[in-house]
This record gives sequence, structure tokens and C-alpha cells, in this order.
Amino acid sequence: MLNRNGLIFLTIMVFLAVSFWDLSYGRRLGRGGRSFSRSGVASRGGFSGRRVQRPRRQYRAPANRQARFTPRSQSRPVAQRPQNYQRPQNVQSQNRIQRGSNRMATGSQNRISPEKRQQIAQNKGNLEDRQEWRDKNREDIQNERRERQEKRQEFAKDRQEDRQDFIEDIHDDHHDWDDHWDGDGGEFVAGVIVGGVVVGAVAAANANDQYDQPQVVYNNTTTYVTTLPCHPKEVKVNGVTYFNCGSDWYQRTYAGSEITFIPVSPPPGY
Amino acid sequence: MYKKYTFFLALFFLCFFVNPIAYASNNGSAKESLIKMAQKIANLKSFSVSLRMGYDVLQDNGEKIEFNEIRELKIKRPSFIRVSATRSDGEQVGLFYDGKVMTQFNLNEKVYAQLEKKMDLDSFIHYAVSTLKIRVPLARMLVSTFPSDLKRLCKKADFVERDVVVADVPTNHYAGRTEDVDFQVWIADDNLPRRLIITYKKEDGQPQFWADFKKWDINPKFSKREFVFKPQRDMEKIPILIPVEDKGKRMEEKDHVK
Repeated sequence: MLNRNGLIFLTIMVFLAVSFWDLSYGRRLGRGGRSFSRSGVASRGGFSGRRVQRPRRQYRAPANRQARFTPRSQSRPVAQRPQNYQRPQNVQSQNRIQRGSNRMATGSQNRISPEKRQQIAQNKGNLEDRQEWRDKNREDIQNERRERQEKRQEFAKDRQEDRQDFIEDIHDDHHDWDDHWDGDGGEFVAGVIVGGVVVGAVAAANANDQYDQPQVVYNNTTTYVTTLPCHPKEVKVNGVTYFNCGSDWYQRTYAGSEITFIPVSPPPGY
Repeated sequence: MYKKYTFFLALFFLCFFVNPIAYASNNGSAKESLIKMAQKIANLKSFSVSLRMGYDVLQDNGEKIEFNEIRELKIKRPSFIRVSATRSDGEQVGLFYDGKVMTQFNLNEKVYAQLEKKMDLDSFIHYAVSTLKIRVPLARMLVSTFPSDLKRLCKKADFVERDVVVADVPTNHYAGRTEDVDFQVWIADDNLPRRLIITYKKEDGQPQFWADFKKWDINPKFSKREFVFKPQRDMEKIPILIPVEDKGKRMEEKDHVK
């Protein structure tokens, strides 16, 4: 049926048709020739490369600081009594007795019985213990005050260091931003829609002023696609072009410098 | 015999003392020349220039492909810019800012997008590049901080040679290095650049960006109207996506649409 020349001609025509379709389809989808990527760090012509994201320092108080610095109400230790100290029963009455006994002793020491002497000696021992406890208590309080002051100084020093670190970080970040603002990539994942007409929005139209065209601000975040999943059917409704892929509808939007597509509700009447 | 030693001593002195001094002097003067060029651009009240530029893009398969474009750039300080570009695939795109309204457009797709934001040119360029992620090649050359930026970023600079080939006028060829990039610039006697090559040495494949600067006009008469975008009758206005950070927070809160 087909001779050799006819077969060659047919092959060339099919090749040309496929090429033309691919080119026009690629154009329509807003991408470059065939499927080469046009975006890269060099495309931005910056005097810096991409910024390397470094982990930000955390300014949490270290665990040992929590241990070192506790609120005053919790930190104040109760003065520890000597472990071997047994508070004597009825100390005051015994002291009173002792004082009375002393008075008695000054007047008539010879009349004190040996039992009484033993009791007085015991009470004297108790008094010495009490004095020792007071001294110990005072020492404990002084130690605690000293310790608390040291902790406060340490905390203040740590806080000053942290503040200094923070200032240095801000300074570094500022310079980092200064150094890389023109080199960071233009790609981003999601964005907030601003301007233009988005289906479902009701806005006043004023054809007299070019900037007063129907528009709406959506505060919700949306993601976009750079290419559509099919060869879409184009529909123009109220001056807005919609792209239909099966049950999905898309609208064009600018993401950076590229025209991309965001999913939208079906246009009125569809 | 002593004469022989004197000769070697002199050679030793030259190698270890004079050469570094000469090198430092050359480095200093080269950097000064670069900063002079930057100051000249930063101090221009208005100018226009035609840029023929190209850049490499490393593809996923490791192949490096170059794309080209021609950009007509008009700037009127403090707050006007007009960029019209023709990409190598035929797309005609642009970015206008008239001090109040930013417009991006694509004549082939017959679409444009607008955003109102009042600011000066420096702030606008920072906003467009950093926040909106709009591609503005050589953005740093367009802001008034270019001299100080160059002074800070450029760690090393050398004068390469007097070049009589690369442009239509003789130029001085300089090579500079920053932390991230190596760059070469050919500066004519009027302190304006004629050619620039930036090599992204830390990126995979070390892609390059290059630009030829032509038709410098440093005393143009621009009217404000030139920076206001007039959409063609069949053009459609589409929205702009403002990138968001994590948790859906907008990167910039104060912008609003007109």
C-alpha cells in the first residue's frame, strides 16, 4: 500500500506533529523548552550563594542552672539541728528550776543534794548543747546567704553571657542576611494568595480604574503546582481563565517570577 | 665572591618582602577600583542599561544547560524601576515599580499581577527578592548599599589585565572572590562595568552567571509614566502568592493589595 517514500514522509510528519504538540503544550504549562529546569542559583545573578541554615542557639537555662538557682521560698534551708541533739523536755521549766537552784546555791550551796547536783549538771550540759545548736544555726544561715549570693552572681553572669550570645547571633544573622539576601533560591512551597480574582470570591468591580479590578485577599495558605497533571481544558468565566483536569480546577498565579497553578473551586456554572 | 652573595640576598629580599607588598598594593587598588565602580552605579540618580545575560542550570541528571535573556533596565531613584526581559525561549516578561504599585507581567501568557506597597527602591528590591522570591538578576548592583556590600563581601581582588577585546571600549579586567562566589568584572574607564561573570564555586557543578552591559545611559530623561504598567486590553490579572514560613505565617505582614 505505502511505498518506502510514503513511509518516510509519514514518519517525518508524525515526528513533527509530536514535537509541535510537545512544544506548544510545554509553553502552555509555563515551563521552558521541553523539560529542562530553568531555575538555579546562578539564574539569580547574586553576589552570594545560598544561605546555609544554621541551627539557632537555644537560650534555655541549662539544667544545672535550674538546680543552682531556685526561688528564695524554696531555697531557704531550715537550719539543721545537730543530729545528736535531743531537745530536753521542759527546758524552760528546767531552766527556771536551774536558775532557782542557782539562786539557792548562792545562798545555801551546802544544802544541795547529790541528785540535785547531777540534775544541775545535766541542765548545764543541755544549755551548752543549745548554745552549740544556735552557733551551728547561725553558721548555716550565713553559709546559705553566701551560697545564695554566689548563685545570684553566677546567674547574673550566665544571663549576661546569654544576652551577649543573643546579641552576637542577631548581629551574625543580620550580616548573614545582608550577605545572602540576593543569593537565596526563589523556590517556596506554599504561599498566601494576594490580589487577582479567585473563584468563590465576591468583590466589587470597577472597570474605570485599572487597579480597582475585582480582587480578593485570601488569608489561608495554599500550595501551587508548576505543571498541570493533564493537558487541560481552558474555560474563561467572567474574565478569569480556569484550567480543568478531570474534576480538578486550577487558576494561574505568580509564585516568585514563575506563573504557576493553584487548585480552586469550579467556576460558576460548572 | 661577596658580590655573588649580594645578588642572592637582593633576590631573597625581593621574593620575601617586595613581592607581598606589591601584591597587597595590587589587591588594595583592585578592590578600590571595584568599589569605585560600585559607587558610580550607586550614585547615579537615574540610568538605563541593556543587559545580555546567561546562566547555567545544573539539571537533575548532572547536565549543565545555559539559558539566556536580554534585559532592558531603567532606574530612577529613589523609587522607580522598570525591567523588561526577553527570555531565550521567547517569553517576554517584566517587573515594574512606580513607588506604589509593583507589577509583574508575562506578555506571552497575557497575564499580570499587582501588589501595592509604598517604599523606596532599595526596600522594594529587597522585598521583591527576599520576600516575594522574584528573580532580579544582579539585584545587589541596583541598591545603594552596593559599595559597602562589595567592600564587606569581597575578600580578595586582583587586576588581571587591560582588555581590548571583550567590550567596544578598552576595559580593566578584575577578578574578585567572596566567600561564596568568584567573580570577574571588566570595567571601562568611565568606571562602569561592561562584562561580569559570577561563578558559584560552592554549588554543585559550579554554575556561572554572566552579563554584558550595553548602551549605558547615565543621564536619561524618564517620566514617571514609564514606570506605570498599562495592561493590554486582553491581559488578565492574576493573584500573587506570598511565600509563607512554617505554620502558615506570612513572611511579611504589612503588604496589602490594591
